Amino acid sequence: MGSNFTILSCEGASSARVGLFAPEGSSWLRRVWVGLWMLAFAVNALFGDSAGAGAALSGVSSRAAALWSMHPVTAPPVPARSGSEHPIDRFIDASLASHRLHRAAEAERRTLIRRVAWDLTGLPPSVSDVTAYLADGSPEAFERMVDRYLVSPAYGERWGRWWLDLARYADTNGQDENKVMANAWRYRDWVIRSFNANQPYDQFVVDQLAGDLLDRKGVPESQVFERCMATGFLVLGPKMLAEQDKPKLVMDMVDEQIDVVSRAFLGLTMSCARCHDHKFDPISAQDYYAMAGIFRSTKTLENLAFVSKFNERRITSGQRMSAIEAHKSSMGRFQKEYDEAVRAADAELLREWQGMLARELPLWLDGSRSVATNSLEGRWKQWWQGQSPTPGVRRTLEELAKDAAARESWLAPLRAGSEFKAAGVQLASGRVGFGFQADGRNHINRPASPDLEPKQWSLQTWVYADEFGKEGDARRWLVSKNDNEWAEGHYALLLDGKHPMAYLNIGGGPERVVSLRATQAIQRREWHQVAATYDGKLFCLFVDGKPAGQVEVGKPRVPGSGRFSVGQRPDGYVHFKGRLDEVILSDEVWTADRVSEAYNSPERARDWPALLRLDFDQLTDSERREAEWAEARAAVFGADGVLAVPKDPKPFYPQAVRDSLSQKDQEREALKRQDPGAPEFALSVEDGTVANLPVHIRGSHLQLAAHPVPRGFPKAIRVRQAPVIPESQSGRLELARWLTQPDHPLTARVLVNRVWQAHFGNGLVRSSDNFGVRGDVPTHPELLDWLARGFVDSGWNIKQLHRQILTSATWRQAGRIQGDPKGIATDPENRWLWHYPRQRLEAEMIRDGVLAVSGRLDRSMGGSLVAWANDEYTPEDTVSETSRRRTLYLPVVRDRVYDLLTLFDFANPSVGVSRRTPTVVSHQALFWINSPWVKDQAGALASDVRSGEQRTVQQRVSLAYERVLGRLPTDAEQGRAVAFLSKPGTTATAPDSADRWLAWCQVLLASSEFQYRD
Amino acid sequence: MNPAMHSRMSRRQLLRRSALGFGNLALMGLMSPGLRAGGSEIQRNPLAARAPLFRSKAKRIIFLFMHGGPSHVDTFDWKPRLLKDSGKPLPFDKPRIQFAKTSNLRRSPWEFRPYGQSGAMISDLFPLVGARADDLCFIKSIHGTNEAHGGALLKLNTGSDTVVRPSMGSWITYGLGSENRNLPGFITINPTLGHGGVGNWSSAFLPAVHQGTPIGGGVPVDRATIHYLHDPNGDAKTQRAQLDLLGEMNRDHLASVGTDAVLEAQIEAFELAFRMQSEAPEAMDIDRETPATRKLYGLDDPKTSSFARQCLLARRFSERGVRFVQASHGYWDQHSDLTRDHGRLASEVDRPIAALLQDLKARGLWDETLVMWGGEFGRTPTLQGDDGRDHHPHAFTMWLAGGAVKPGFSYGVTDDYGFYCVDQKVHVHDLHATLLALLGMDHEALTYRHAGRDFRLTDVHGRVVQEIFA
Repeated sequence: MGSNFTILSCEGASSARVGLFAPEGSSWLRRVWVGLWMLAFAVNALFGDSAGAGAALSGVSSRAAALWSMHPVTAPPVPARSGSEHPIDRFIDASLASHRLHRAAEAERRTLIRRVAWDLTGLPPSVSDVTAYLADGSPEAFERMVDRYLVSPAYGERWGRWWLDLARYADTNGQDENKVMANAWRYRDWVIRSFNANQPYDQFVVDQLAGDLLDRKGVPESQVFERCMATGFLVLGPKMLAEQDKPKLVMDMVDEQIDVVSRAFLGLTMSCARCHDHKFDPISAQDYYAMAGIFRSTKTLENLAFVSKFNERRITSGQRMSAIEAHKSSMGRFQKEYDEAVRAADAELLREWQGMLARELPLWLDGSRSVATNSLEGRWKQWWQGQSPTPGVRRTLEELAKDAAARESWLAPLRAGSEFKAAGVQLASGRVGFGFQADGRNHINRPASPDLEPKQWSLQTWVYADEFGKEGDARRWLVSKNDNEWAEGHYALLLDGKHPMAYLNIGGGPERVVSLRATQAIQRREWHQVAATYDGKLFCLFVDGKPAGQVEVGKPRVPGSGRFSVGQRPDGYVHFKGRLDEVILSDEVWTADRVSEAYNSPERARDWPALLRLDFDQLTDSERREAEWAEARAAVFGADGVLAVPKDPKPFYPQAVRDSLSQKDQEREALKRQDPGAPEFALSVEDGTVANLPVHIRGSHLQLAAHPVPRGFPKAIRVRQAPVIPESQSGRLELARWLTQPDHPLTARVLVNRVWQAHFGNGLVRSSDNFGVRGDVPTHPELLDWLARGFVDSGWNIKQLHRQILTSATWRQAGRIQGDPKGIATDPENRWLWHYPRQRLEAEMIRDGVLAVSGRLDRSMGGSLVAWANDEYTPEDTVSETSRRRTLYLPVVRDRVYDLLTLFDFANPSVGVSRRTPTVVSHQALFWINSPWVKDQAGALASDVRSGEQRTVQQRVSLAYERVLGRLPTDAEQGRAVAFLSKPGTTATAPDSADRWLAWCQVLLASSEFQYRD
Repeated sequence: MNPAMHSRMSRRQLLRRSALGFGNLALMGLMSPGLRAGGSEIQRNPLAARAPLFRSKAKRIIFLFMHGGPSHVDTFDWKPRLLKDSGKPLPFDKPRIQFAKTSNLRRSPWEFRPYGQSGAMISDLFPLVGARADDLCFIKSIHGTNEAHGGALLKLNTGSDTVVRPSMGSWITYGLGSENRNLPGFITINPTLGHGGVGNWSSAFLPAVHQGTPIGGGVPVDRATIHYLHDPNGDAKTQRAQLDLLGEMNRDHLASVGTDAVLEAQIEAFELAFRMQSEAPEAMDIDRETPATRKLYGLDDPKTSSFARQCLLARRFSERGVRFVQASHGYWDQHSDLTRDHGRLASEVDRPIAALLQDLKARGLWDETLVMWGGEFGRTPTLQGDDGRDHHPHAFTMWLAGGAVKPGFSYGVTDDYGFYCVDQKVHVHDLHATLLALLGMDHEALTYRHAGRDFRLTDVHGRVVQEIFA
């Protein structure tokens, strides 16, 4: 401590001792002391850093010497009594006196309790709180009232939210990929608990930066998890998850972490030093990369996928985890047994039906029998008499009906447990005889051969489509040669949705594709002929024997060298589903008549010359029989077959099986009710690959300096005992310990200044997130240091700090500006605090306050209102508008913050915000007069004050005033209200009606008196 | 001008003046300690119109934003070599970072033809805009830094794809105020909700009054309006009585606390809101347009009606002095089916855009209005899939129109395939600097003090492209 003061006070003397020499109460001496304090900066600015181990005077270190906030916190004397014993008042009064100003008188008690309640809980005082406080005449009444609010759970909600501004808390990522962080709320709730428990601020800092690295020995598991949740602080930032330059993504994220950490704890913006030494503040690029190394060695992202994912850790206890695992495995076991039982029942059912068919097929084909439609035979009959069975299937079944032994052989493969198809190529009834059954995966290839590359040609296929590609789907290739349509010499017949097409590529490349597309569509599950001809010049398409388009091709086709495929594109993609038959490639150019003839008499075309012919009928007898049988088996017992196991087979099971299954269903439901749920996760960091980083020249990860900078802390900020970062760890724990050293010049000053700011609207340092050169100097430097030192000495006790500030006469003074007529002229900004600074309610206070006074606020605490799946894209927020929970529990959706909050200057959740900037814009007025939400709450308030025991209009008006404004109306106000409420014709609504009351309550809520802390 | 120069003194003056009863404050970010703009009128009303530093023709901007990234080589950047070498590999290296893989060069499916005196080569996607080629000033060498939509949108709209910054509309109203005190200064019609969302029209650390006011977004354009603009009960008489009572209560409150400029502002804000309720719907009432105008914009053709409405709204707001109007259209992101979907998208905007240009001229708004067209990036001259192009921030085209820029002019050159810029390169920062200059502002002087630093739209970059100034 105090090396910068050696010049003033001889070897070893500390600034504290300089302070001690200043006698208490002597104002001129005190002024001398302050003068010396200022002089110390000036001297250091001139002569630089005396502790710099003889180093040359660098820009950074000389700037540090000149910057007040880099100096150790002093222990200034408390000025003389000033009509108040309170130390804060004595500091404030001393500076007021030197500006010839006076503190205003104490505010009214009704005003005070309102201020305290808003400040400490973010809610207005209840009517009964006000009554109780006014009734308490003891001298300690005020302190007692403050203490009551300090222990209220609402305190943690109000001050937790205050911290969340700095932590840029949100439930979604924002930026390019606005993904849901469904576990962010655990960090939020941790912050609330931490404030309510009055966790010492130094521990609060350590937990957030390095809770995961704290010693776990002897620590209960639940506390280990709490500390993991705390580190969510580092994960919450907005990230460019889809940035494809992944090293850049990581360094941008590190930068965001440095930004939030340096702003929140140091009150400095270090980010400038990413590209160069800070222009004004004593932060060098070396300092930046020393810190960046710490965060680069930390794992904040779970992966670096195309859209990367933030890091999470499981926080489920071992015991619970085993319960979850046990439940999962018994569910799995149970399900397996269950599935097994169903499978067995289905198999039994099929066996039974197969047996029945084997026995009764001859009867079932007898159309004259009358059968019940809901019986199995009825089902069969309906099928048999319909359009579904192909002629081939009919023929096969009719033959089988005549031969019981054949039926047994036909069913044998099924009884053996499989196989609807014949070996080799899958066949089914074709246009003539058999055709090729393409199932979307299979195909037939013929190797490349010069024979299949005629100069001119005709190409035909018959097609029976089981399904068509939807709009936007890829086209389906039927028969084609040579790779794909961009390939030299590609030719093809294909389907674009329902429309036949032909391709021809001459010259290679996408722009050399010649295509023909038929305007007419073909029908599903009907045979159609598709053909194309090419004579070296003219390229023609035919569908069902008729021309469907033609184009003249400039150049002759150059032969390709790829294979010939049926049912797919030759490069192996875009398979077709359906049947193909009568594929013919010929080197004769078919005329239109010829194509038409092939359409009308496909059998005849079999005799025409061809280079390649696939009619799928060149089979041996046994092959043919097996193909026929396979098709019939598929038609009867296949997935869509008439005797397939139905979707809901239960009604067909025997009673015993049904009973056993419903018993099992009940058991399963019971088991489900014991589901312990999924394991819990929290946003959390952990140490990653530990490494030092070199300076990135101009901030670019592509231009690195030669040597890595050892991980560490900004050199200009000095503590006596800086922790040493071990080689094997990131250094986050040491960073946190460094920040919370009792003699750290910034951490305590920054914190007490922010708390002061929250109570007074402005900090003692007005630029509360910039204690650097371009920031403001403190208006009351001694008071700042006195508070900071006291704060550290109190064990970093934040509640104690509130108590200290709120009990001061300075804070309790009236807000009325006429308090001191000189003030308006000499200090219009109220820097010297000659009156209480009026403050607009913050967004949460407005919403919570309106809900509270209209009797609708749901005070339940904690938990998540984010019902969206983790890591999914953020859906629309439908929760906020209807929820009655306190505002801090509403989902914070980055880039789509609930508009009520945005309207009243909610902190931008993408950056750490140290101070919200209240604005007055006409859009807020539009909200008050037109928003359905306001009208709803006004309606609730109106119905509350009108309900219950018989009251006069005047009594109701008074009740509303007490609830909304915490006071009774004056006579004039009472008169105006009654006039508004009961005069006919004042508004379009009836006097004293619910609507009239709603309109009046709305005015009360919109009034500036409600929206300001006076 | 440098609003940052007048820091605390003027605020003090303001409070003194207010204390003396000069209040009557309008729309404001008055409490903002960061509000450092100079001049007492601005202190009373941060949206008060003010003269820029330089004389400038342009007073307002209409930005026709094509979300998704229209392909420059299929619209306005004609590349005969791309036609010739289509199907061949790119003869030089692709960028280090690519959003997705692309294959060989691919020609445009559309023909290009020369238009007007200037002979600008424009594809058949934009025949009607093409017919007005002599009014356009192309910049064919725009380049950005981010290859993903979110980053590129934020870069284009705010100058930063890494940290939260005010959008250009916010900077412009911050610098120039608005010419209509009953309407917002910055309006964005049918804005993009994803890809940075509000970040693209946010005022970030600038006073909230400079935030873009969204109209629509996520709803059909004909139902889009300003939030809370309408009384759901439509009961004007009750509302007037409420505002009278509220005014009395608020004046009582003001009297009881002495003087307070903010409370005065609060009173005025309610009166202003009441006026805005009548002025804004009138500004948005497209039904007042003549049948000829409706026809010109294609308002009654289902294909063009949506963007026609946006262009008409843009003209009506512009006419009334709104400083920055953005109209967004999408989604031009054709990784596949470029031929079909670029065709459809262009047919939705071609007529409305051409109509807007013609209409601005006819109404004498041409000189004062700067129209800008473009997307967050272009598309690769190389092929993705079988009919697509990937994101391409390395070179793309935007065009400006209006009296402030050279008509029938083209600036900037890309290589033979439109892949990289080769000459007269214009980075997004340069575009921002140029836009501010066209409005008479110096991008290095338009600063705002925040967190101890003076921020600029162009950060530490930006070159004004003087060559395109009329």
